Amino acid sequence: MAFVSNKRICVFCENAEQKINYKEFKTLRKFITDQGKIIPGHVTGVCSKHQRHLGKAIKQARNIALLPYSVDPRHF
Amino acid sequence: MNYYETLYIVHPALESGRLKDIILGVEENLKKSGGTPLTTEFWGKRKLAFFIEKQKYGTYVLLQFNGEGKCTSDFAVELEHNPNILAHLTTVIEKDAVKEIEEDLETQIAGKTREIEKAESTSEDGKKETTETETATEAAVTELNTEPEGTAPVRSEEGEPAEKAEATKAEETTTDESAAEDNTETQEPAKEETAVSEEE
Repeated sequence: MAFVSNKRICVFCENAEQKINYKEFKTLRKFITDQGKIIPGHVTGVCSKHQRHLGKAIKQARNIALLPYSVDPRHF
Repeated sequence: MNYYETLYIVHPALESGRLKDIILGVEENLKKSGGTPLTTEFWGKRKLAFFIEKQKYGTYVLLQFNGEGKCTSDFAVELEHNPNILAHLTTVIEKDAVKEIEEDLETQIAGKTREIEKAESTSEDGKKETTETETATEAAVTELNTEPEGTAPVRSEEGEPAEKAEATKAEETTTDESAAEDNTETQEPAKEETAVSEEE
């Protein structure tokens, strides 16, 4: 049986060119739920360093109305 | 000397002429507060993630500038007191992140308005197409929902549904036979057969 590792590799560690910025809200949208909550790193596989940057960028994007603070689940 | 960028949202009701005046006014305010504007990028009108001052849409403008740290606070106060600006966000950037945009502000505004008009026209066409596809998918779903009624007992390999299917088949065959022949004497053995199959 082939060795299958369950270890996830961070997307941002793999691609050094892909920087986390609040202006790239389309990429940030992948890391929030439909309800608008930030998805934890152990679910998405993002490392703790980049998860910190992600959280900061998502909060900045929320401040300028690029991303929602919360979405009512009745409007899905 | 640090490099900063400010993304601010202008009121969506403003048209291209007044919009340009407001953007130039913001740059003048920045100069008064001690900064030097480097580039202005016009993002265009887009839908806000939530309502700001009862507005659903907003015109985004990105302004990159450099100056001392104090100029940002004065500039923020100026933006706060401007009634045409719904929201703003100032962040520190590196020198490499400063964009070089050759287009004038007028051409940017004109280009973005054309893009928005095109997008609106395509979205309307897309909506029509989606409604057609939705109706097609609904029809397919209803067909799928109707099909399994006759086929479900045959698919299941368990004992009870198979027996039921056999019983129903027997009933159908007997009724067909009885209908083909005269409906007097031949119905009695057929009924007996169905009774036996039901008992089984």
